[in-house]
Amino acid sequence: MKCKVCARHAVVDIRRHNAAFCGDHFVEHIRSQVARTIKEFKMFRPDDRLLVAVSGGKDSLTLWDILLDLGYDVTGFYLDLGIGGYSARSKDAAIAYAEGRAAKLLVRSLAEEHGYTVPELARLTALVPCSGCGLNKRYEFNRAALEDGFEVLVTGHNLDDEVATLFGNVLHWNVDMLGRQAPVLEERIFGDGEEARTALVRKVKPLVRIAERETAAYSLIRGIDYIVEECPMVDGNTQHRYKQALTQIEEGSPGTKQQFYFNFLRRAAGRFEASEPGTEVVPCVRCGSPTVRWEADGRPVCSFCKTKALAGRRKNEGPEPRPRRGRR
Amino acid sequence: MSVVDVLRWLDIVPESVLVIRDSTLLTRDERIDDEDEIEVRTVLSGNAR
Repeated sequence: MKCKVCARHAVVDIRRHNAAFCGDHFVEHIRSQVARTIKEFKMFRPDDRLLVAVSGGKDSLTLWDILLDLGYDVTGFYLDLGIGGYSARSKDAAIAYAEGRAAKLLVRSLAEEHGYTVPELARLTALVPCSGCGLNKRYEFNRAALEDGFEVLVTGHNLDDEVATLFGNVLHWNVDMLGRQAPVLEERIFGDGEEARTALVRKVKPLVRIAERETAAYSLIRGIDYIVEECPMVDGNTQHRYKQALTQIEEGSPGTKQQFYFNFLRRAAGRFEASEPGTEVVPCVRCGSPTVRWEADGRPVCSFCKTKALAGRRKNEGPEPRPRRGRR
Repeated sequence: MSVVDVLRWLDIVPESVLVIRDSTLLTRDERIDDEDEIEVRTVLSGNAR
């Protein structure tokens, strides 16, 4: 194959665009696609302070690399999840990238902040590891952005992530989730006038036009030493199975993923409400983060605070399993 | 054999991987010789977001 720009030998083919690129023009193509997405969805302004959530993987390091090259004021944020050697190696990758680019990086650890790791949380609460992990990441990313005064939180969700999430939400008709699935989640403010405070920082996903295969190719061509191994706790998770099924469809019909997602945004997303009837979004009585209050719920507590409290109680109860009530 | 032939022989969906030879990415039409050493790198992750 030949590069569609310069006709030199191509190294990456993108079948949904019916195009192939040499290394230099592939990097240029990906960068321009990200710049186009930022502009199209009005994600942030040139002078905004951005916090990018970095895992040490291909998506977040690609995103950070592109934002730095585009000249944005962007700081990385790494959250140590305590998943044994995997977390240690992913942290090393994030730190090595930051040092190589002389970029700013904040590092925090779940164990230091909340007294548990992701494996411990799963064991203590019986939550699926990926659920507990996602809940804690969303909470900590937002907290870090608020505490350090960043205007926008940027995440490396790519086209495959968004398509798999959309697929799952449609399969289960999670209509409130469909109402919230967008490349930009607006800032949430509680209170009025001098009492007003930001509870949720604006959150954006500039990689929604870029497939996972392309962030891996970008990293390789740019010499970004990302952590290739998969998190040991995700084996067989639902999101992964959806991605495999959708990639099989994409192989036979290139462009299906992009059409599914962008046609959803254009034609369907506006038809769904972001919250369920009979609920309202209010501050958590413990931490102040937004949470959903049902009509009968007097003192609403957010999922993060409930989970953290449960983990704390179980930890204090010791290693013996709790007796189950009402079962023989 | 081409890259895509090798992947189908291995029962791997080509869209789910990158194929690398001597630190260089290969497109799906690239020829692979018997003595070539290639890396087939999975790109689909299941990480919690």
